[in-house]
Amino acid sequence: MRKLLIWLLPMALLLSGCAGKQHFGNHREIDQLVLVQTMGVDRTEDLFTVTISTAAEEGQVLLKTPAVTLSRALKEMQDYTEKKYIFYGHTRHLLLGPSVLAHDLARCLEFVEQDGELRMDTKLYALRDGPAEQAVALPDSGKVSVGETLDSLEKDVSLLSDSHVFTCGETAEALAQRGSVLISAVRLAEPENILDGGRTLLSAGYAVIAEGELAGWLDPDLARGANLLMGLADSDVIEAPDGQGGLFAAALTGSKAEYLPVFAEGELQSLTVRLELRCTLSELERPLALREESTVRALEKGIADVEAWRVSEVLRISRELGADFCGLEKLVRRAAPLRFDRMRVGWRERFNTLPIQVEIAVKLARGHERTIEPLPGRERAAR
Amino acid sequence: MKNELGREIRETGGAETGPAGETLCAESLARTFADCEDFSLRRIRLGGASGSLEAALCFLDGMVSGSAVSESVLRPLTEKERFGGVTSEPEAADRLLAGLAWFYAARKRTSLGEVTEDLLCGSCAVVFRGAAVTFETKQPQSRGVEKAEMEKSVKGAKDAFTEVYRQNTALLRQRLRTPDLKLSEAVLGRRTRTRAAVAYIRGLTNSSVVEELKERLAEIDIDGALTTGSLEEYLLERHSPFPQLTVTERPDRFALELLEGRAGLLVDGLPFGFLMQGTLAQQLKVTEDRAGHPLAASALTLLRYAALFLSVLLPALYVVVTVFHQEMLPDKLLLSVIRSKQDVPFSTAAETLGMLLAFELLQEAGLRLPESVGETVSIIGALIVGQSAVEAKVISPIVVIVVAIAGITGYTTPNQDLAAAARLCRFALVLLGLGLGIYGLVFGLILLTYYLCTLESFGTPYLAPFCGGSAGEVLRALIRLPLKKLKERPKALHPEDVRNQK
Repeated sequence: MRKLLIWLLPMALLLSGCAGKQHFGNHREIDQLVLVQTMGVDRTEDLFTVTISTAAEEGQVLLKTPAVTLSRALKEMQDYTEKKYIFYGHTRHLLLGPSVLAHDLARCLEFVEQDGELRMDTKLYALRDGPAEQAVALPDSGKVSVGETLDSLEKDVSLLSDSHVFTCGETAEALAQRGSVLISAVRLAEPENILDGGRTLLSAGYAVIAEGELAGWLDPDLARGANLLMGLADSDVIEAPDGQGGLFAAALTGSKAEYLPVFAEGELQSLTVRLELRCTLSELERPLALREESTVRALEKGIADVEAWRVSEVLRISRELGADFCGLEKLVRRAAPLRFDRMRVGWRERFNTLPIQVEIAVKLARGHERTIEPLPGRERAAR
Repeated sequence: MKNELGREIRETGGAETGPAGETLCAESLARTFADCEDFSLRRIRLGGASGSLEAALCFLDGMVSGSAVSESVLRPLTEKERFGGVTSEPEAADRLLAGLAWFYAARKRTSLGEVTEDLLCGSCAVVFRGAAVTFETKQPQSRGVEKAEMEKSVKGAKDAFTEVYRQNTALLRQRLRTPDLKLSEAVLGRRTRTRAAVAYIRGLTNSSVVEELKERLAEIDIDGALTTGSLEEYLLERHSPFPQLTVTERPDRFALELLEGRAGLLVDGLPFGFLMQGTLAQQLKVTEDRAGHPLAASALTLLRYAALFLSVLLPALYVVVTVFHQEMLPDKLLLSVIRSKQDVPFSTAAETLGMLLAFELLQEAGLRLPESVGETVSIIGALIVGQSAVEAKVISPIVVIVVAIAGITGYTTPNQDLAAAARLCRFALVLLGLGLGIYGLVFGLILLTYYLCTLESFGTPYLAPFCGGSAGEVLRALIRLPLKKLKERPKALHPEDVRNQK
């Protein structure tokens, strides 16, 4: 019996789809591959325009193909390179132009899902102020590819929490569940901002997708509010009035979002969003008497006010659009799963009219190097 | 047949040496060794010139110690006060056996075959008509006890088995000073008449394994037992590239394994001891594991397992990933591999197979040549040719790295036979990977696992304790527990005495 099983295993080759020409067609010599790092997709009337970029080390290759479908565009791209095979399995970034976001986001994501080489963990970006092609063809010097620029950007956005880069898989899942989602937005930097004259991409908040279509944009300032709601804000610099006519800056070192739904008679009556922010004082416009509790409380209130405005604005936009793009449904369900599932009126219907209260608790600590005494030269002002 | 101390020797395979039925006498012996220039027959008169009785002193020149023959046999025989009054041959033979000749080991022989056998083993014989007395005046042909070469010792005993059977049994006896250590002898080979001893500890080793081993030895009917392979292939039911007998050149390891409950085999002329019930876990352990700290020994044991897997899998994985599944490699590594492969004219398959073959060739050349030349070949082959080939873009550096890592990790395997089997598997998996990609690799691994599961050595699964063992035993195979906690012998060996300490 065991011997029979052993002989059956190779026979299984015929059943697994691994047999025949198709499988052996996967044989590719590695030095004949062109590794695509970044892919941009735009839509012009009836055509999709796919632009690809490879790594700078590889001697960057930039190719652009218009076609009726994405599949055809990718296949036709194969003709345009000296090497034998353009390999999409290592595509790390997918940039979508506004024209695609407007109507074809779901189609693009479905294509990524269906394609044998593209991966669902590809990072997804929305280009805010022009076709994706411009961003993919970004580097003029050839030293740094757009892929590397986006890699760097992904880390940079976490420093100021002004966006968050989601993967195609995460976006597709959110889109399927709630029809609305946020996509990290980028824009081409103004040339005057770059000292060496080169061009680069900057974070531009989020593209808001509602009902599968581009509904608007969240600026970086509001994107921070959205990140607080989604529990994704762990680093930021918050400038706020110190209550004595000046400004101060605090560094956000961590945050926590807690959702407290109130149910009554099978209905969701209200929702309290409790945000806890941990900050350290990083910069003062003028010296303050930091030993006094009232001063610290005033600073904490300043931070809370700034963040409360951001969060409220995000909630307002979300409700105006009727799109829960922050995924509050999932977070509220997590807080009270049984009662949530028994609600008579669904979340989508209730969301627009639900009273939402935002409570922000700020814990301001001084930096570990900072003494509570004013530094020499600033004592008088402090008194 | 009995040995010099009167113990029974089991005759295995083949006819007795010498013509059957012929009367034992000097003339018949001379006829037996006709045209053998090294055969010496000297007629002597017992008790000196005045003696009335004549005998023949026979030996094979070079096989016997001249001084021992002269001083301990010839001299007493010709002394008048010892043998002057002897008038009959039986009386002379009795006197020789009673100690009037001084040599420590004497045997009375009555057949031509027995005497021939003794002479071939290095004895000298005093031959009368119809009887003879043989003395084991063997000339030591040994190179002496030297350091183990294959199994290096760091914190253990340095001595190794030699080609001299009796020296090997003595080395073992020095470590196991117990009468329970039994050495059951057998003679192997129709023409080589090689002596072999089944070593086991009474009351500890599973007696059915010992009996099985004795039976299999008795069934061996071959011309000569001169190599390890000629025994292994006959002793095992299924001969596999994976060694089901463990071969060791270290007497301390041999003794230790006997104490674990294994049976052993020592063969004259082979500087190794065979240990039955060979298992993979046993072959990945070294004697030093017991000498080191448990943590260090455990880490090294795990490292050996990892190295074995790497040695078998790495080239195949490389081929599979670079030819079929490039998406499995991280971007930067893939780019690095692509860069290294640029301008190399050969396909990945040809490169990998070629490098694996070149590696084997280098290794073989290094082994077969004298040590100093072998080192030169290795240096020229590995460094100069390898470096030049990479610089000339004939092969890519990444293939050199992969093959070198696979080779080096293979060297960490303590058992050379296991390392050789791993090399075969390496080739097979590369070929499967080239043909079928990851499916081929996984299929090959399934086949390999199945095959290993079917292997047994004297009733013990080759993969024990991983196959059929308890979790504790598996842990014990992978991790060296403190010796105080190792209170039981491996259950897979079914020892008669399970506990080894209080």
